[in-house]
Amino acid sequence: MKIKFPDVSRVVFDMTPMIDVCFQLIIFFMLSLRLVAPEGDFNVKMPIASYSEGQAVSTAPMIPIRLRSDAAGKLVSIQMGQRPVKSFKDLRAQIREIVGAAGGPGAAAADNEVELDCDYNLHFGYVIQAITALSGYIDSQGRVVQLIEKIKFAPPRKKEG
Amino acid sequence: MLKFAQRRAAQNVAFDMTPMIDCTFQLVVFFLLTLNFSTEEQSELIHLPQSELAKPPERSVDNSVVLQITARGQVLYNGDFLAPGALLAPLNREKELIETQKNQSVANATVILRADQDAKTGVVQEVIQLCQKVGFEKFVLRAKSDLREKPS
Repeated sequence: MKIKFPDVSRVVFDMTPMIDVCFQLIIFFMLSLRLVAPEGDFNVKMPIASYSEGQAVSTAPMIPIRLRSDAAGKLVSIQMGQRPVKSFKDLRAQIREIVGAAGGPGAAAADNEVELDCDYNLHFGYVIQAITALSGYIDSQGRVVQLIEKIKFAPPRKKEG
Repeated sequence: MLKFAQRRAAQNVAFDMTPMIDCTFQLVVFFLLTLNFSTEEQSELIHLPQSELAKPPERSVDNSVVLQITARGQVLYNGDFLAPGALLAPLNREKELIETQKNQSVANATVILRADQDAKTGVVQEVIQLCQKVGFEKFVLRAKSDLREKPS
């Protein structure tokens, strides 16, 4: 009696379930896909209402920046010390002058401290623009040049209106 | 005769599925890699301000509390919209959790503030003050990377 072996050359895989599953996966991942822009952080300090005895008080030169807004929260004016500043670009230019006079970005970045004094209603976006202008800039080669590292908030102003 | 031959030829047509399966797997791998589970704490209600200096941190923060502040002045915390004043109780719970379960000081924990670009700065400062009352000391303001701005 001859033993009949199954004809292996004729075995056909049914690919349909696998393709079904793959398409299900694609649809799942497509629907759960959310393209999010990368996010970054800025470190800030805020003075505590009353300093305790052992707490170190900063001795770094303080640069006060005042940001005023209208009732709707739109930026009205920028002031650095007593000097009015036209724009955030101008603010960065002035900070670069200060840092440059103190021996270049590397040396002065750790020395100077900026205090942001903002109106209550000011939109937060302007604060980030100010922090960006103060923190540094990107040079022509795409490198980040650090200007001011220590940025802190002044005590919050009273609610307006 | 001709008709019969055509029918027979049509029956023997076999599609080569290999390129389609290849593409399908490529797509599956692409979507798998782009899937980002870490965005679950990001609310689409918050439109972060943009900054060209905002770069993703090189290492993630170990102990962090994420507080999101909407343009209307509410704080989004664990899926609940709270008034800034009502934040004290959840912050105290967070402090307990850090100190008892993670065995760390609350002063070493970082509060990540994701505030809307139209949120009032005063509200952001009030939230920081509340966190300070509880004992938090480290704060970071989050911004979205702005890749459009040209270098100065």
